[in-house]
Amino acid sequence: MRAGPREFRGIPASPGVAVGRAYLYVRGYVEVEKRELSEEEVEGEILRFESAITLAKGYLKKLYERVKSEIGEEEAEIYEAHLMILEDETSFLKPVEVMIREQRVNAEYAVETVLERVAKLFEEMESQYMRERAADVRDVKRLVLTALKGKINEISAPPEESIVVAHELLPSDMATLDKSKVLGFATDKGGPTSHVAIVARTLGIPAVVGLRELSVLVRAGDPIVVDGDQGLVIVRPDRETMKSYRVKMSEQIRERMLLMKYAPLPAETKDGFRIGVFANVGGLEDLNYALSMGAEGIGLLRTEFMYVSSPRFPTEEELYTNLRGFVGKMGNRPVIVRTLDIGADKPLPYFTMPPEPNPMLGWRGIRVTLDRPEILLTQVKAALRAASLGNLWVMFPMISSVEEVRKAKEVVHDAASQLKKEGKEFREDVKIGIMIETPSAVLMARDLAKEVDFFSIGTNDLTQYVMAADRTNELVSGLYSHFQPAVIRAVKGVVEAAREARIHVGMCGEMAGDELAIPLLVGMGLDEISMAPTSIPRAKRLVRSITKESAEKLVAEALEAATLGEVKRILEGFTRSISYSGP
Amino acid sequence: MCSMARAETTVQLKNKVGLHARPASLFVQTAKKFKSKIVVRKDDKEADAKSILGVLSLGAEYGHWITIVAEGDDAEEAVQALASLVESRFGEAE
Repeated sequence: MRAGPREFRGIPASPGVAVGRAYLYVRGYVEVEKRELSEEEVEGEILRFESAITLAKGYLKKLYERVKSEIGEEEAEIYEAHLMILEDETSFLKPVEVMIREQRVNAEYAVETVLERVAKLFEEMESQYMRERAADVRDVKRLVLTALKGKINEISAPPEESIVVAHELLPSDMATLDKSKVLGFATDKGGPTSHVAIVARTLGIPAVVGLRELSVLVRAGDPIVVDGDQGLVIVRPDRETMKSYRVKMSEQIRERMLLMKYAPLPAETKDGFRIGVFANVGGLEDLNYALSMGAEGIGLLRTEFMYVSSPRFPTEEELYTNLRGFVGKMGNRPVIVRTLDIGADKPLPYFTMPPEPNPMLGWRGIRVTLDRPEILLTQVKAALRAASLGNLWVMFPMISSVEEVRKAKEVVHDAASQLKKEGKEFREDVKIGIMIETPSAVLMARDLAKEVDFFSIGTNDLTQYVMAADRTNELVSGLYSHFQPAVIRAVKGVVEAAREARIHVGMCGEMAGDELAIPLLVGMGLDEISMAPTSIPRAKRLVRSITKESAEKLVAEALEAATLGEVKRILEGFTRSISYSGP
Repeated sequence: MCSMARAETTVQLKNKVGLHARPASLFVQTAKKFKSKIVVRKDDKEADAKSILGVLSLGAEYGHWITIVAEGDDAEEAVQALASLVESRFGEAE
């Protein structure tokens, strides 16, 4: 007898809809038996446990590298966390050893007991997050138990048009699952921050989690609908439902494919004005993604991560190796490297900064690195060397005076002469620029423009400083907007100063990726806008659908506006009138 | 009698997720760089700062205060490094 349609309500975890056939994901189940050991067996058992840990660690390291390059650094972090559990002396390794030794039990039983206790403890905690972490502990447990058998699981490959149905999909499952043919995910367990949800969102695959007993009620090959927008799963849907979901799915796919068609195209207006669309990146993984989305350069390379992830100040060689990776990948496209940008609110673990009453107005950005020129010198030397391999520009953050720019340029000069003496290969004529993010830099833009090769407007800090509104303080969040007339006028002034001095002017804050703001930036005539990689195809489509002429009129109109509301109304009106050009 | 160096400080968690996820990892990784014995306390709970499971089980969240106590030759440096990591909101993005 064939069962009829059945609906399951769960938690929406990744948007979009998918129609396919159920692929039941069943994980190898590891049964744990208790075995008593003789006294002579104890040391051997501990050795067996230790070698299983080594095997499991090697496996996780490989997994970490693979996920990092295939999906992204953030998604890979979970494996780093799992590695740390494997290295946890106090709560894992020691207790297991003690248990094997004192209770004379087999390693499997000791691992099961110790980690299950931790998992239970996590499950009983109040936060949803911690309850989900219990799954991580069990995942590590399973990995160690498998490793104790001497082998670790293989890849499973669902067929075409699969909807993966599982009781639970743990990080190790997601890593060993070939996702190329997967159209959707549906799991009994999990919440919006569980690993399957994160991976599904990154890959743009619809997912619903928290479906309780779905996996026992579905049969392999059943037609199934996953509605990630509503958190709905329909098993064996009737013909009508199936049809309407198929239509929806193909619309979505068409939309995404269409948008991706804009990725490789230039951002050129209908009347021939071209603006560079760059990406803001922090790590090499972001870079691959940025290139696939059509980035024409890196408008902001944040270097803080190179420092935060090091136990001490990184050496010139380490910084050089790191930067070389970016420059090499980008070829002759610009890579704008922002020098170290730290402050009392974002210090480094190994560099003590005195506490300040007003860190936002204190010792930060270029102010720190000019007072500790050896930090800046090391970084600039590494940058000049990497510049010999491509098109690297150097940018200084938090500039508020002409003197600071001159001093920073002296450091560049010193770096060059040292490199010359040391006989290292480097490039001397790199472009030197500054971020415009303080009101003083806006007011001094004409003078600053004479000192440098380019400007990049950092609208996040600029908005905060122009409006004197802390961007993390909700009480003043009404003031904090890059559409404030004061901010728009500041941006306009900076662009004009750059035009007069004939230097490059770009933008790398939130505003640059805001679809409502982009026509304004085109109208002002910026050379380049730099944004999160995901926003690039949409930005390109937008630019290709407007004319420079209409954008200039928009600028004139927006500059007349005296209130935030008026500015928004004008920009929204313009955006509504756009009809998108085909790719 | 030779007394061990001891250092202690109390700090507030100002990053969004508290002592979980990436911040918890960074915290433990930093603690492991020091020789001193380091413990973290939250309310009546205490954990070894070098144990990820221990640190997670504190359930320390945004706004909570934690006390870091180190004993050993590099106790002072250890406490300082961990406190500044917390103060920096674990280097949370811009």
